[in-house]
Amino acid sequence: MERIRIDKYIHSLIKKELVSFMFRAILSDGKIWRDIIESISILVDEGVFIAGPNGIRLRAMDPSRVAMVDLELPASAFESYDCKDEIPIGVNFDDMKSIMKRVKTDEKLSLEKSESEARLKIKFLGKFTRTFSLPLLDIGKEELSVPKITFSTNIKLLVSALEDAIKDAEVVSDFIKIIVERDLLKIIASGDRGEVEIEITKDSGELLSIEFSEPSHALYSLAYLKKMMVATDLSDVCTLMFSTDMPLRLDFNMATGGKITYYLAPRMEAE
Amino acid sequence: MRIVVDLHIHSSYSRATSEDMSLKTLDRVAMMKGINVLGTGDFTHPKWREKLKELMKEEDNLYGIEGGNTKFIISGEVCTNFEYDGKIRRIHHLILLPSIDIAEELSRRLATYGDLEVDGRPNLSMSGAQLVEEVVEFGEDCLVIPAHIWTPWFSLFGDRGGVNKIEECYEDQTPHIYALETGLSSDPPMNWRVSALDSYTLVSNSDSHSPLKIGREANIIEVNEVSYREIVNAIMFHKEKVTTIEVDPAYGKYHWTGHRKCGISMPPKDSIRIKGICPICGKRMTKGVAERVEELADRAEGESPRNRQNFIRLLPLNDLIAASIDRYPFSNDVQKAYWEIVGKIGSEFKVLLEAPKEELERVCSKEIVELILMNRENKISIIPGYDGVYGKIKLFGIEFKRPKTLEDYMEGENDA
Repeated sequence: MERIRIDKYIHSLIKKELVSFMFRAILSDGKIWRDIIESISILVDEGVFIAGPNGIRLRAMDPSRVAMVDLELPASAFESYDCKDEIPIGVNFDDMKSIMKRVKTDEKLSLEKSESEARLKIKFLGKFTRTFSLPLLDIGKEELSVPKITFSTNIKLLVSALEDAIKDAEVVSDFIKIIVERDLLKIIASGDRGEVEIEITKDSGELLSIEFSEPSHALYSLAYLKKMMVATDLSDVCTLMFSTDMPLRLDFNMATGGKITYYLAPRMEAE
Repeated sequence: MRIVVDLHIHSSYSRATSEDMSLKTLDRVAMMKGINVLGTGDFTHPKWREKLKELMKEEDNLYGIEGGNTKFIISGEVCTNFEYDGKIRRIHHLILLPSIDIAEELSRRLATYGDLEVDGRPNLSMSGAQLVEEVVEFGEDCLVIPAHIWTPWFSLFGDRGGVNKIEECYEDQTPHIYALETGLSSDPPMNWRVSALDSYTLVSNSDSHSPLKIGREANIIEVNEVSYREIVNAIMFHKEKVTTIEVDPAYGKYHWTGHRKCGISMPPKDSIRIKGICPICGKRMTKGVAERVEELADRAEGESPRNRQNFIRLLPLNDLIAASIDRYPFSNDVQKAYWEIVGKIGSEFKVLLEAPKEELERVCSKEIVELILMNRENKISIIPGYDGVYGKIKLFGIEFKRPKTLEDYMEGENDA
């Protein structure tokens, strides 16, 4: 009973805006946050958003340290954004995903963190307001840097083309070889179940641009690439960067502003 | 006197076993290996038991075939399936009995818990405690020994279906447990890291499914006479009289954590860091014995109890020959060389442990002699086994390749 009374009291203070918010942000389309959370949770169970004056960011590595997700969501991507100092917001992504599954079309989303509570208020603002309160995790802040690589290739293509190629490759194998030579992006997969070769050229209209300093090739796990395709809901175009036998970087630029970047370690041919 | 004893094998009535496991073959192979007493295996199976009855009984509660050289001890393995703490536990136990009559009567009782005819190693719907209760009713010298206690599946401490404490399996019957079988993927130093195991005698057996693998692990037991009573007495009360013969634990097929499908394996510190997730496909890897021991250990690596047992580390001769000529241990070339060497020197253990270099040089190639001598000095490196893949002898500086992670490309590491 005591706990309920305290919650009610805090709630009334929030209503009267007497509780000081450390962080409050409103997204005009709640489904964008839902897609962002799905794109992160496919790789990591828990993580720490850093909300700062310029926006929200998150960088997390999957448990096997093979893949990384790097989110940047600038303040301009929000309808309104208020955060004076940097604050960590540690969350369990499965729990947040379950909450975000409840968001409806045309609902706005408000994220709020007050100074007095170790919880994140997730409000769906539609015909009426629905407020979820997510307990925050004190999991510290892992200082991660991104892989330091000079990429020899930079390819911009429609995500539908990459998604199709991955689906084709999955029919025969568990990994793909990506090759760039001349103005051609070639994706090859082979295994006990057969072989497939996909060629994507500029003429197809699906390969928007291709830059490379030298012909390159590398092998990557299809299981992880497939997971990364969850982010295709956020963007129609992606940018793929890699070098021979080096990690791959995959950028999804969101139309509303912001970016999700994935990194994936290569598989060596001898492994 | 010292005798070599392998208590745990399977007959052709167990699944996935060689058809060539007749008593005559077992008797001959055991002699060539240098084993004095061999477990019969599978006493619970009615058809195998019929064959065992053909053995001549001897006065010392051990058995033998007419004209044979090996003594047999009645043994079998069962799997108990029971629920503990909301989870199904599937645990294998080795049973030793002093007579075929007791084996007959005990089997009649165990048949009420499961079908004994389906498999030489039957599945029983009973707890570990119930099993011990049934067995010791025939006498305290009827032993239940938890089998290969660390393997991921079907073992006392196995990651998939095991428990964390002996009492969680055997409950109030725990005082009737005297020994633990280490299994191929663990050795005494690994077991010493768990102080709760200090009072138990460690035993090692081959758990062989084919004649060639008999004796790959075994026990050297100090006895006054070769009898059931003397062997069991040493196991129950005189661990100092039991020396185990162990393969390098890395040779075992569940030593490291790994994922066979993706060909990936790693030591505990790496698998713990990546939370047991396969870096290639993202699925859960099979936790190896080394990592499971790390989980339950309350002693640091290298520490040991005061009353620790002796052990000898030895790789089987087949594997040494196979490595020397780059063939599989079961290949014809390896088998031909094996029988030739063993036939000339007397027994496999004599070749591996006793034969002087000069004698070896007369019957073995230079490479094999070198490997046998390295084996005696524990100088052979093994690429560790994982997820059902046996460890491999590492020759000529072949290095283990671990998969790349993103950390290999972080700032300062790689500046491509």
